[in-house]
Amino acid sequence: MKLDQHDIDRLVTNYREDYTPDVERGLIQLHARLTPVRQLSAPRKKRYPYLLGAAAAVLLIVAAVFLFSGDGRTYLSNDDAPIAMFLLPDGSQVSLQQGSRISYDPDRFNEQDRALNLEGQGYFEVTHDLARPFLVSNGSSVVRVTGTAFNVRADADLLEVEVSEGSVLVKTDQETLPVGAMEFATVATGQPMVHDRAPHLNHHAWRTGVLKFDHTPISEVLTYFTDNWGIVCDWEHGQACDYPVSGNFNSTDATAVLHDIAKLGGLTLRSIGDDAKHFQLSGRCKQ
Amino acid sequence: MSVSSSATDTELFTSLRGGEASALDELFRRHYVPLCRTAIRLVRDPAAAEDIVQDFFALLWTKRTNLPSDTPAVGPYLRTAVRNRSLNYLRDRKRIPVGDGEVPETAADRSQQPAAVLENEELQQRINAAIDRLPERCRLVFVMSKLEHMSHREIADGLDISVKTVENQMTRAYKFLRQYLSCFLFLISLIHG
Repeated sequence: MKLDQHDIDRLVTNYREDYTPDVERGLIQLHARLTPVRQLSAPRKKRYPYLLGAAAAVLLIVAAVFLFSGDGRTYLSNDDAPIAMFLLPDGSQVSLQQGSRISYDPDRFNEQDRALNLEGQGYFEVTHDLARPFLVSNGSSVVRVTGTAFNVRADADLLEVEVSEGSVLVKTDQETLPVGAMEFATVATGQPMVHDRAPHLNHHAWRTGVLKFDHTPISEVLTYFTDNWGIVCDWEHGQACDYPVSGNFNSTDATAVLHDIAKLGGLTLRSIGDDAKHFQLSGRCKQ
Repeated sequence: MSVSSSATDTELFTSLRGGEASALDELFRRHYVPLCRTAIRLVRDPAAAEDIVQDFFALLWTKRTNLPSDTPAVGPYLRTAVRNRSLNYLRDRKRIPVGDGEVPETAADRSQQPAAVLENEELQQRINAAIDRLPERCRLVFVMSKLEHMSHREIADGLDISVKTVENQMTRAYKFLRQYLSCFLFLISLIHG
């Protein structure tokens, strides 16, 4: 027996019929595309309602404010809450750390691209859109994606990105660096770009409450407290002790975790100042 | 006001023209999967296929007042539009080949030939793979003809080639698929009686 043309015709009728996209997810993405960008640019202040529940162990308080400034840009800021979540006009979602804000041009966002500026720290879950890249900038460097999830910390002199899903491109005037899932990259003014693995996603801890260490030097551990919560920890008499830290820490109280880590090393932690952000370590550490 | 789920596609289209958002949702739910399948047959990329279809529905909404007033065949209307947008997508990215390309040697595919018994699903995957192995222009011509039921003239216009080239590509496609799939003959006879 041999196949004739009718056999072929009959066989190929189901070509790609096994492809079944998620209709409800597609509908949500459609609604996000239809969010009228210009409607958001009405000159008024209002509470922004899109605060969502999260798996994060951090208490969420609805305190995010949606502002329009005199420069024509739309500002989304989180002044009071530990975390505030916003839904952007393209359907992407951003979680802002307290004291952080993003801004974008409401007349241009989601037109040719989806460009916004970040001051502070935010976690982005970006809807897929091949035609309109999503750009997060600190003014000098840019994170470029078409659809993925990642954390960005930014100020005028620094841009740090840690990717949890997919991949991003970090662009400066001098170079472009692809950063994949479970990796991070840092661009600081006047310094070479840093790119390394981030298997534990410890730069997400401000949002997830989870820190994981596996023989991580205490000096590096302390940087996560600075990067996540602005906690600065010095050594008494400037005598640093270097020992590895291992273990998983899951807590909404960063200071309590820091106390535990100090105890594990045989050290004492005390608060200096009254802002609960500055600490000093002392004692003989266990090597 | 929301539309009835028993409304016909034509009634939904009329409601959509009148600005009824729930009509757009209902049309989307009914047609999203088949339209994505139309798109992926042409562009091959699942994310791009969904993007094309969502973009088209977004356009339906923003241009709703300009939609044709009496559309009895809504399904074909949507399918034709998505097909054209998929071809535009390929054209914009210069992914419509200008050359014939080489038809792969079927003799080199021994490792992919089936065991004595194949599940239906696996057979479907083999057929998908067989079509995907065609040179891209040949594959597009074949898909547009046999899956999208376009005339040779429509295909020629869509890909900016001659009708004669379409015929040649169809001959190449049948020849390759006949050889590639012939080894499934026994199983085909079992499945289809």
